[in-house]
Amino acid sequence: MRMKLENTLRDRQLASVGKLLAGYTHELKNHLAIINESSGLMADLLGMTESEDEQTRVRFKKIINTIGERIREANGMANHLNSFAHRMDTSLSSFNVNDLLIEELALIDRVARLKNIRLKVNLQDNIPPITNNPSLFQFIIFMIIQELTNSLAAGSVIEISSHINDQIIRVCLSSTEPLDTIPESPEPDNSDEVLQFVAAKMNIGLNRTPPGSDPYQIILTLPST
Amino acid sequence: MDEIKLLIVDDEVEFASALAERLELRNYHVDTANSGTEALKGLGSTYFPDIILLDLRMPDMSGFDVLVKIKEKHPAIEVIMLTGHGASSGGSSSLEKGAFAFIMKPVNICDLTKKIQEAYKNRTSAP
Repeated sequence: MRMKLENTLRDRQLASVGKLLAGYTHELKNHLAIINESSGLMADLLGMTESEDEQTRVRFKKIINTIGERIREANGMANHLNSFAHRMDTSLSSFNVNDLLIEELALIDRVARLKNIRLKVNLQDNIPPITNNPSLFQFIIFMIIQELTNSLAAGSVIEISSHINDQIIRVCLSSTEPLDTIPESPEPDNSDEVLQFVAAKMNIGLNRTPPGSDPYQIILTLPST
Repeated sequence: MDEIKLLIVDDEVEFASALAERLELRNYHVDTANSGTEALKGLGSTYFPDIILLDLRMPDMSGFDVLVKIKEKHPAIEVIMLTGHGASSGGSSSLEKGAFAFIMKPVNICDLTKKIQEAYKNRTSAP
């Protein structure tokens, strides 16, 4: 009974984080929309103003273009964050693993870049949707990438790929360089235990190649529906 | 060319006013209303738009509810929904309720004016 309550509490807590995050991204997009219209209006007015100072006009145009580019970039990030937040709405839904990977990797990319680790994405087209828990799927991907980025040296590459074969979808996270930084065993904390628990809860497979193997891989196996 | 009359309904005053000014520079006649209630109250008395640009998420009445009421009383007016998150935020449902189109925020002015022209053409060609 207590365990059930704790699970419900955890689910609701997660859902509340999702709702807050979704609302926040909406507000963020409102601000971006206002900046966008204001800089657009500046560009319009600049285009109508006669000025002999062509050099200043060119500088203003360049600045306005930079604002526009940054708005597009920030808007893309806000969209990813919003979709990510909405994944917590339900514990069971139909989704495409590629969509969730793209969305999550866009958010994780900066964390990896700060450690000078590159995320290389190689997703097979036409992967069919699956029915499972989307936020747990993203959580497991996050845990694996965090484990790899914590273990790898600067300059390493993590390749994230998806494939389908015989109705089985495989999501593979692998690193080949530098091999000597791969830990002898999984993280000393209980993260592997947590990963296995989540995989069992989602009814998916989670396998690792032996430590030191080339490439070092963590593979998720998801039956398509 | 006829002057196309637009009504922007958005609770974000700065957004509505900047967009209105940009559209006026492109020779549209533009009014703004900062809530669904204000828009509905003024339709047919203060505002006589050909096309309404309607924000989907507003505090007093949702754009979706405003759309339904507009279509009930003024079916000839075309409505373009402005939405932050497209299909996930009710953009596609609004099409089912009679919106002409939905446009994502931040707005690309060229896409928006193109859609306005299409909506106006649709309105004038309607029986």
